[in-house]
Order: sequence, then C-alpha cells, then structure tokens
Amino acid sequence: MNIRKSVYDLQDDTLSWYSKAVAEMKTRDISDPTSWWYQAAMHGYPSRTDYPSQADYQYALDFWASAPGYPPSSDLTSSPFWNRCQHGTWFFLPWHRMYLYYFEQIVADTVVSLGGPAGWTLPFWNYCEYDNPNATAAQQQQALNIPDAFGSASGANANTPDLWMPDRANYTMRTDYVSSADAMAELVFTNDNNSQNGLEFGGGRTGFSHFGNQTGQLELMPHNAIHRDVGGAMADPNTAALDPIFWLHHSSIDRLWQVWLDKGDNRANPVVSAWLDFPFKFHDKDNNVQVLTPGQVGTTTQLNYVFQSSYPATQQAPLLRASRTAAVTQPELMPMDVLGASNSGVSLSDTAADVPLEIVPAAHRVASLPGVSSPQSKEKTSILKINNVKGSNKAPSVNVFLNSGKNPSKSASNKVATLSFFGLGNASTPSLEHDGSGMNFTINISKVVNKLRQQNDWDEDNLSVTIEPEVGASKENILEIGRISLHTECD
Amino acid sequence: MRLNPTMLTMQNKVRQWLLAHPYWPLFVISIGAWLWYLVAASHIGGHHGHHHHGHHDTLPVTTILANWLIMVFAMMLPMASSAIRFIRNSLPRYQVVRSSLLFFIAYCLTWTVTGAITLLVFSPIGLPLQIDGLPVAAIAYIIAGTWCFSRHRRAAAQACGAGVPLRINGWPCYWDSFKFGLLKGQRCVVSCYVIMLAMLVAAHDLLIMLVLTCALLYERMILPRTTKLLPATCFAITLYYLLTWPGLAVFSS
Repeated sequence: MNIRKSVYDLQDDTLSWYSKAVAEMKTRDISDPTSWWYQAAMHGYPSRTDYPSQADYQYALDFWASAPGYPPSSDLTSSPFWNRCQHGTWFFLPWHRMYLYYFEQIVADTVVSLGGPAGWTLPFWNYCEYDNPNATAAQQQQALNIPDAFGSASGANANTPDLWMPDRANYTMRTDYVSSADAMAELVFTNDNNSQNGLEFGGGRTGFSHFGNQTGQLELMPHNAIHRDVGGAMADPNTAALDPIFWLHHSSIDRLWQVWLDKGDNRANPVVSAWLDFPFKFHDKDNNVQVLTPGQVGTTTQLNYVFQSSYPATQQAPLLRASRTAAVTQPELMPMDVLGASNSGVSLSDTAADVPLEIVPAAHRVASLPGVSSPQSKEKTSILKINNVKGSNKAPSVNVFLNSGKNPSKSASNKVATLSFFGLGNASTPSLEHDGSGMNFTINISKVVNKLRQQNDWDEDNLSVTIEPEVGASKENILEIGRISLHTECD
Repeated sequence: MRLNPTMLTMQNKVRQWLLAHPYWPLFVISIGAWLWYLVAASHIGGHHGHHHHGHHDTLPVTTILANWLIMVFAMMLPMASSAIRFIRNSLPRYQVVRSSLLFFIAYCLTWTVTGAITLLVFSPIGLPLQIDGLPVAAIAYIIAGTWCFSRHRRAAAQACGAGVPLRINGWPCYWDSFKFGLLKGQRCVVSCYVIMLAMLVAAHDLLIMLVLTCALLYERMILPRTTKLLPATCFAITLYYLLTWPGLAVFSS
C-alpha cells in the first residue's frame, strides 16, 4: 500500500525527483499522453469562448507556448481526453482522484526512467493544518505557505527549479481560505431527494459536467479558494494543472474526501448506479487507455494508497463505502422552504452592493425565522443560495454578509462566507462544455442566522445581503449575480 | 377508516417519492400520450398499424396540430423534468403548482407555434413527404443525424439545462415562470426540432419514436456532451429506411 505524505513531513528527495520528472515530462510532445502538457490539458485547455477578451485568452495560451508540438492540432483539442475535468458536479471528487492516480503513475515511471527510486508517491499540501489546535504557531503558519521547493515570488528554488511557476499571485494563503470545517460538517455527499436543502459535501447530481453548477462544499472551500489565492495559472482551470503545486493541492482535497468518509455519522458516497458506474477514460503510464468508474475509486484503498495521518485526522476505518451492498442510512434532512429572495440581479465591480430580500408573505410562509429570546430556543438550519453567478476567470472573490434591519453592515458577526470562483468564465459562456448559466453556490448560514436572531433588532421581514468584492476587484472586472435566496427549515 | 402502520409507512414513502420527483405530472402526461399512440395503433391495425401521421393531408388542421402536440407530450415533456425540479427548488411552496403550470403552458405554447408554422410550410406539399424516386425518410434522418453533430446543435443541447433567476412573489413570479417556459421551449426546439421534423417527414414508426425518445433522454440526462448516441441512432434509422426503400428493394419480397 502506497502512503501519500504531507509535503512538510517529507524527509527524503521526493520533491527533488518530482522536479526532475516535471522537467523530463515537459520535453515530451504535447500530443504524448505522458507529457506534462497533455496531462494538464486533460484538466483543461483554453478555448477562445472561455474568455471575455482576446488579451485574457492570450494570457492563458502563453502558459502553453513552450510546449513541444505547440499549438496542438484541432484533433487533439477536441479529443475525448482533453477538457475533461469535472466541476460543479458529484463527479468532482472521483474524477480528480482518478486523474491523480494515473498522473502519479506517470511521474513515478518517469522518476524510475531517470534513475530514481521506484514507488514515488504524490505528497499533499495540507493547508488545513493552520486550523489544527494541537499544532504550534510556527507549524500553523508554515501550512499556509507554498513549500519552498516550489519557489517564491522572487523565482525558482535552485534545487527544484521545475516546481516553480511564473505569475503566482501569492505564496502564503489567506487564513480564511484554508478551512475544511464547513465541508466536513456536511452529512450527505449528494442531496438527491431534498434539494431545497442544497447543502452537500461532494456536489449535485449531474451527468458528465465539465463545468456544472452544482458545487459541493469541499469544492467551494478550500478547493476553489486555494486555486484563486495561488493565482496565475492556478486560477484558471485551463492552465491550472500546468502548475506543479496543483497536484499537491488536489492530493489534499483527495485526502479530505477520505477523512470525511471516515468521520462516520452515516457519511457515505452515493450508492446509485448513475454515480457508481459512470465511466471516465484516462491514459496509464504505458499510454494504454484505461476506464475507471467512481465505484472503483470510492476509497483510497481501492487504488492501493492511504494518506499519512494529518489534520483533520483520518481514522482509517476499514469501510468500503462505495460498495452498493453497504448498508448505509442516509441522514434524514429537515424539509426547507424559501423565506426570501432578491427581486433582481446584481452587478458588481469594485464596490459593495446591498441586496434586499423580498420575503414570502406571512400568510404563505411555511418556513420562518422569528427572533428568539434565549440561546436555548430551537435553532434552525438555514442556507443562502447564490445563483447564476457570472463573470470572467479573473473575477474577484467576494465576502457575503447577512443583515437584518435597515442598516446593512459588514462585520465578522454577520459575515456568512467568502466565495472564490474557479472556472467562472467557463461556466458563464454557453458553449459545447457549459450551459452558460454561471455558477451556483449554497452556503450554510445557520450559525450566523441563529446568532443574529438573539439580537433585539432581528426582523425576519427586513433582511438583506451585502456582497463585497475583495482582492482583484476593478471597474472592468464585472461580476453578475442572478439571484440570492434564503431558505430555512419548515416550521 | 383508520390506516394501519404498514399503510401509513407506504403512504409516507409515496409522499416522499412524489416530493423527490416533483415532475411526475409530466411523466403521467407523457405516458398518457404513449398510451394514446398504442391505442390508436391497435385501432388502425393491420400491417400498417405502427405508422402515424400517414394521412395528414386528409385530416383537419386542428387534428394534425393535436397529433403534433401529442407527439410533443410523449417525447418532449420528460426532457422538461429538470426545469420543474428547478422551479420546486427555487420557489416557495405556495407558488410551485401555479408556476409549474405556467411553465408548462409556455413550454407547450412554443411547441404549438413551432408545429403550426411547420404545418403551414408543409401544407402545400403534404406530410409525410413523398417524392417519387427519392428515399425521403432516409434523407430526412441523415440530415437530422448530421445536424446532431453540428456545433450549434450540441451547444443548444447543452444550454437546455440552464436555470434562470426567478422572483418569488406575485405576478413577477408568474411572469418569470412563464418566460422560463418560453425559454426552455425555445432551447428544446433548437435542440430537438430537426428530429421531430424528420419523424413528420418520414411518417414515423412508433418503435422509432420510442428509440429516439430514449436516445434524447440519455443524451440530456446522462451524457450531455460526450455521447454520439443520438446521431448514431439517426444514421441507423437512415440505414433502415434505405434498406426498406422500394427503390433499393433489398428486403422487399
């Protein structure tokens, strides 16, 4: 059984060999499935329709320009292996697990061909360690940093030069971008039967979905946030996998999936054939086409690897939760209904916008959020859905605040989320890959709502949401939001 | 009468199922349309029993239009199921039934107008189309299959699943639901009209209609981008019509 280790716990030359393998794979033709370029293009390759301007398109293409065999033929760009990454769908986690599995094989084979040791395994970059209460302050701080081997803002590390990537925006991640706590708290992988309650760990039920709009909680945070915070190539799905840190980031996301399963409380992968048996094609290290299904990769042990223990901890429960015979009882979710929704779309550039929510008339309200006088009163699960978000791949992250009363504010006490967008340009443009309706997000706002309800000025008939663009906001970089709605448990 | 616990559990399960599948009325109507076809086929009987729309030129326009709508109900309503789920998940409960109904009316209106225009265009020459010396049905399906491969059609099929922002109260809510129905209808027309037209032109067979419906549903729900099942089905039907065409007479006795 292979063991994938935390990059900060490596005591060997894993990263040195990784750098050499990257260099070697970069010399291979873009049409070679074992080349660095081809592997990255399986995730995504730029198409003009994905970008609002020629300049943005050219910026993305420039990352590919040094590939042998560039530009790729149209046969290659339209091949059934390129532009396959699954986002905004319940296939997000299994597809990326498969992708990493074959990538790891190819790198390991390359390492051996270069005279290195057999059994190279992909490390993971555990930025979640920042939240580990048992870690020292130095360890927490270290977890936020892209490891030194991957270079710095001033350039490549001389010992591992091919792990560097130009144009990364940040080498230290923001502290509010690295938490997996909200995702880990979710109890269902896909919320198939009670979709007013759109909270789900792994994404919504779809067919093949290169960029769907059923984003799961783990994909939203920390996955999207880290992509955007690293920036540069990593911020765009059509270039992201060209950055060597991409693979360690996704190794971390892959680990979090296993950690989530092992947390118990009936957490489980989907057990329906539509998920278990959906086929995805890859190339192995010998260029053979291989087909895997989510049912074959539901746990890491099915692919013969485990993760070194790290925070949050894996309990290594010997469960085969992908098995269709596993007796899994899905948690009963409370039915929900809409309490209020915005009446019009919002267009944001560099300033915050306050969006009033129109509330369902009291006579028709079956889900209400009256103020409560004591913390012991019944709390409710409430969610905020932010739908039809459109913009470019450079759209800024936004902070989201919930307000009650007539004076909107932006403080830690009413902040419900930070949204980072990965692939927004792709999801906003109607094309062969996307329906063009943008991205949808579901945020668990229960804690904030239940806290605000304790306050005297809570007024469920007078709610609004403030959206505040942050890093990267500019007048030219427009973000459009189609609708914001608040849903809560029925009375 | 008091229900025993088993019946209550059953009742609860049915309620849960209906809640989880809010689009069930669309499937009921669709199944009704299929049953209508089966009954009509058995009434016509004989060795031509599976063919429909074979005598449009002798039927009143309203009957032809009704036949067209029944074909839409049978084949297209299941394709709109995700839109009804979307309405259920987006709107407060008190609005769901009325909004779904308005969506349904607008969706059918789009197809009715499309059908009326089609009949207007084809009324001088009649449907199914018959041109001496030409395998019209085969040509219709080869055009439909080729269209399915086109970038325009594939993008339209992808766009069929898109949701839109809906307001939640009063007339704005109803207007948005109606507009959503029109939009969904338009997208379905762009995506599926050529297939429907091929069936009209070819005097479609009930079995072919069923096969095409399955291929359309598979494409829409499972593999919106990668499958080539629909054009492959069209080309297989082309082959069938070619081989049974009297001009070739491969299978004629």
